Amino acid sequence: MELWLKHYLSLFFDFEHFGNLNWLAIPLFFYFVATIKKRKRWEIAIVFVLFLSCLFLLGTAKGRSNPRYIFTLYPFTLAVIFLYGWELIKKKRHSLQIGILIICGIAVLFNFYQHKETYSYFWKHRVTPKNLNLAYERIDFINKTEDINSNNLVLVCCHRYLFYYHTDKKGIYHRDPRLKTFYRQKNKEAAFDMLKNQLKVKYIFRNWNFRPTGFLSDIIANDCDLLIEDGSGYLYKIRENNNKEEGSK
Amino acid sequence: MILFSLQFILTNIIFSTIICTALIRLNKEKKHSNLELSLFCLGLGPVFTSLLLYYLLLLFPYHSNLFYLSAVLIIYLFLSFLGRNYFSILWKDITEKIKKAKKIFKNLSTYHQIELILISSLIIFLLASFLFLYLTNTLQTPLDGTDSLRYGTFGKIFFVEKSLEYRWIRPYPKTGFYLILNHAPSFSILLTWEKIMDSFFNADKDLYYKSLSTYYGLLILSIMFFWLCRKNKYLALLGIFSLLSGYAFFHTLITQHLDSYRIFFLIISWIYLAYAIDKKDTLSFLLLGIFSGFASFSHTIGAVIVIFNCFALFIFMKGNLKYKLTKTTFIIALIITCGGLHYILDTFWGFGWIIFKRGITYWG
Repeated sequence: MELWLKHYLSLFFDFEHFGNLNWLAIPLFFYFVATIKKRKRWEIAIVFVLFLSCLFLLGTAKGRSNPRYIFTLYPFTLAVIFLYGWELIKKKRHSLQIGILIICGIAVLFNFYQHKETYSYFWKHRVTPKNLNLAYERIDFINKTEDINSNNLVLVCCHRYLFYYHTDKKGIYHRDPRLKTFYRQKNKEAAFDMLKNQLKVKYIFRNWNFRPTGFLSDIIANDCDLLIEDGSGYLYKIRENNNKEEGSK
Repeated sequence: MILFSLQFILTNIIFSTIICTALIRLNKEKKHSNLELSLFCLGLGPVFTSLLLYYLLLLFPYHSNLFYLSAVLIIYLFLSFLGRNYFSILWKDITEKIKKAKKIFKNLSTYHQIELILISSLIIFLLASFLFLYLTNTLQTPLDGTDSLRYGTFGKIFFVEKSLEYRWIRPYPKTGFYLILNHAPSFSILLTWEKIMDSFFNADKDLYYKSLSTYYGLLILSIMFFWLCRKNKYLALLGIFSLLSGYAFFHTLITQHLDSYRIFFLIISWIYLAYAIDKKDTLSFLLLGIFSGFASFSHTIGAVIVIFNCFALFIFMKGNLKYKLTKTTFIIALIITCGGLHYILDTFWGFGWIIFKRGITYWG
């Protein structure tokens, strides 16, 4: 049941993202189909396109899991509900019209109240921004440092667009095909050598929600110095001499 | 902020008005309201500029900023020449509507006048407060958000290289940027446009690019209000608050994203789908094709959904087979011209779009 309501029928029942009036499209749709012989061609065409679009967007896994995709239909569907709904009640008693508008208004206010924390969180962080979790310090450091070039790259782990947009420095994304050989190395020394000497990585730019695994986790823990930890992540510098060399000395 | 204001007024208002007056030429029989057309056209300035730059970068790459700026301005000058007689008609229409509204207001009872003043004041107050907070706070924060950064990075690359080829070459040699993107670069090119204009003022900012999401979100709200207000003013108020009560829409007003941008063109394409089937006039077919094209130019979702528009037009339009085929082919040609061409290039010579999904490294 939850799968149907939250995914396949999310446009109508995901009240947080799409309000709590969109479900009215379902009974209006059935009424429309029942009275299809009275409908004009353009009305049938619009419902046809909306129906196909809905099937397309909800039919793909990406569409079901990402509310942004089905959001495509939300404004137009809502407008159609109001316009078609008004056509049905416009010849009814004035008091009935007012009553229906008041009930819908209460439902809208209730939805605002129900999700007030979501609204207040984003109001605080986007409209009157406080506690911004942006990589100001890391970006600033990278832009000012002069030793990032073709021979000294930044390994960009997650949220790569932040690095590539806000800096003009050279980086290598952790899922770049060139990293395949790094991940397939048989031991840590070989992986470290590949990363440092062949791929020429000097810095590691990491977001807080990126969990490094395998050799990369080991290298970050044992062979790097943490330069910056800011609101959204970390910047490491690979040590010039690694632990093994220091140990042997 | 002054430079941002200049870019905003030029691209979103002046360019949109020029396009509107060029289109009003086709509305001689007054089958469409010029006010409605001008409202829809407010969204055309940025996307049409993006389309012009797309073709310029594709066909005439590696030229200077002055070349691209001049080319775009010359094309708009030509369009303004086409619509030169219709500026006054548009202005006259708007002033007549205002006079009519004043007359209606004077004839209302005191109770209804107060009611209207209160509703208008509420909307103006909410809009002004939001815009004040938005311009002083939200717009000033650095660009954040995966998608807007992603499209923005491409916009930067197009500006630096003055070519679209790095859309299909990965990684980008100068920075190592690595991404395969299915969508047409219309949103990215708007940052390229901003940077081209900035280069003449020694500025480097992205305020205009960041403002697009909110601009198109407010346009969607305006269109909803406009349509619902024709029925009942309280229905219109309910409509806009209901739209905002869905957090997904509220989010587009305060973040930098292309969702409102791509959804705007789809909504208008559906409106003109209805007009084309109902009125069957040239302007409706033209605008159906143009807005469908821009919907496809903005995102892959638009590119797929406009195919449904074509099916719907063919199936539900009245007329014989030849008539239907002619009109649908006309719409398809417009869709390709107004942005669908990118997907044809990508499918056969690029990454294969969503059809072949291949990754080639070098252009050609």
